[in-house]
Amino acid sequence: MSGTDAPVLVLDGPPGAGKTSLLARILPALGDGCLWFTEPNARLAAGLRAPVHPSPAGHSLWFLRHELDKARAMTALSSDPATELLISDRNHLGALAYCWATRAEDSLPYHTAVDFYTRRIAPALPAQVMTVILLVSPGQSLNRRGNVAERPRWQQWFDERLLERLRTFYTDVAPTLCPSPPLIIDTDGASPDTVLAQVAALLSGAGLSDSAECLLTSTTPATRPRLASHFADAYEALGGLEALGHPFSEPLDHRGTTVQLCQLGALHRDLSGQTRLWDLLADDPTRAA
Amino acid sequence: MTRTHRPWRLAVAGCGAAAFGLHLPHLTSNPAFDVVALTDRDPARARAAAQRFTVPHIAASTPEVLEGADMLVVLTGVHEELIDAALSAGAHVFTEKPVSLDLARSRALVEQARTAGLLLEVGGMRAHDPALHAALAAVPEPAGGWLVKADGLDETARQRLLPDGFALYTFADDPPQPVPPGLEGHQVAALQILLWQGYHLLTALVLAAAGAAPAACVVDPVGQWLHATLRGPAGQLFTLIIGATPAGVFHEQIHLADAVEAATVDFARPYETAAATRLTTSADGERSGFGDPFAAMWAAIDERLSAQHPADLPTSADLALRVEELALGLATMTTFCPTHTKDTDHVRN
Repeated sequence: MSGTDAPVLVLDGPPGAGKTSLLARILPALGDGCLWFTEPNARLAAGLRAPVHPSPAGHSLWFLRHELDKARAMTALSSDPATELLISDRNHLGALAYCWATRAEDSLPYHTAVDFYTRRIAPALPAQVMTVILLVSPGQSLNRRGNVAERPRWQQWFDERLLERLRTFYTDVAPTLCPSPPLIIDTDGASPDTVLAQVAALLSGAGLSDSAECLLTSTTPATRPRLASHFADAYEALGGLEALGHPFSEPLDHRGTTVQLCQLGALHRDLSGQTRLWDLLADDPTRAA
Repeated sequence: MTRTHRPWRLAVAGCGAAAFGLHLPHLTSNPAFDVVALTDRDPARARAAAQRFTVPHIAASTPEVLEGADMLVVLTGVHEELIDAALSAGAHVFTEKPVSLDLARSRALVEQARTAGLLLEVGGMRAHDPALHAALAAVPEPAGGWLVKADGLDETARQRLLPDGFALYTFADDPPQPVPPGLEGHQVAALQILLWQGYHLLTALVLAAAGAAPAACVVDPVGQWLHATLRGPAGQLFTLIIGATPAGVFHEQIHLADAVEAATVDFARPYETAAATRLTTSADGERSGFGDPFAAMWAAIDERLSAQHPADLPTSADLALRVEELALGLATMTTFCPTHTKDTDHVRN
């Protein structure tokens, strides 16, 4: 590692805390200087990364494996001179939170998941990881997401007791599982601008004052952007709303290509006009520096 | 989550040792399920099972056992026709593994279930084994390993589960099971060993190294020993051994290792408590007392029936097809270990 390696900014927290909204605000502001990992999505994984394990415990193992791959990818990408900041929508905390909070008979024991983190993931992480934990109360979380799961597969994320346990995890346990002390922001009653200002202050403190300044002058995105027509086919081919959720940003220019964020992934149009999933783990040189 | 619906009504087809020793004791004591009917080709055996487990109805036919059932539990030696009948009648299906010996037929049944919007759950309980999960967490990217099974207990253990006076069912009593076309006799023997005795090992291998592909497979002249090698996508080597062993001897072990950690699981004897399964890792030493994979498997089936199972998980049928693909790949390349002769023994000595 050199002294100029890009740091990693992690956004984590319970559903409805505003991670993806914050990411949609940050990315247009930072432009080409940042690369990002969208929220892990097993449904979008393909090839050897596709899950094969049909049990909830196997699902958690998939997420932990994904975080191990991501830690290695982040370490490799952090030395890219064109990249000033790497951003990750969730990291190992998400998988650990689920193991801690769920009560399913067939879930991966929490201590097993923690061992996986400490023995495998933590040693693979880049040198500088800044974690932002966005907290939200269960009531606010449900309210922000319309109170009802739009798809059956999202139903468990509307269970108020699970949301309460997740909040407890992120408040009491997660800070001990971050490479450095996290910035914890309670988003109940906080405006998007005040949340953004705290993240900007964190970046400024890490020596990224230009990035921080960009965040503070960013504009508020449209609440429900439309999917760009050139992403329509890829969106449907990848599973549409069920797999990707709703579009969450306008199409963004990024290093000569175009990206559009959705709730559960992002779509990318490369220099040749091909559209596909945005996936930094897929080893595409046009995106990965 | 709190249950908000009535128990699932199950019909059971087949009252052999697996029914008496595993499924019926669990399902008739689990509030998520209600075993409403059962059937067996031997009416006396069906009556004995119904009496022991207080099942209200003994059916004389497949259509009769399916009446009013949410799911058919297939515990017979041959599964395909029962799966087809249940799916055609609009019932979900649980089947003991494998779905069939013929991969094309299995694929068609999985597709039939998918098209009908019904579950086809396959009893690959190793996917729900906490000891295996712990091993996979300890060695998430194995650089190699071995998987061994030698079972000299199964027959005695299964006989003990049946009521007095009933003999074990064997595959010889069953209708012939179709196998994929083009396999030679020793390759069919290999396929049977892999899917009847080695199924749990293959499941563990698929879960440990999803891209592992067959490299070599040999079976002995009398179809009792099978040795195979599989290669992972990064060149990792895995050895699979399934062998005959004297009565009373039992080994079922998997060993996975990478540069920093090794994990060995010695699985509990058949039909005995899973708490006896031992996991040994270099970091934590020996552990036992793991939870029951069988109960976890049925809990997962309950969740999937309730649509609570995460929908982005693959299904047990998807995993079953991967296992059957691997078995067929190995069987297809199986060579025949020649019979010993005095001449060759002399040369070797």
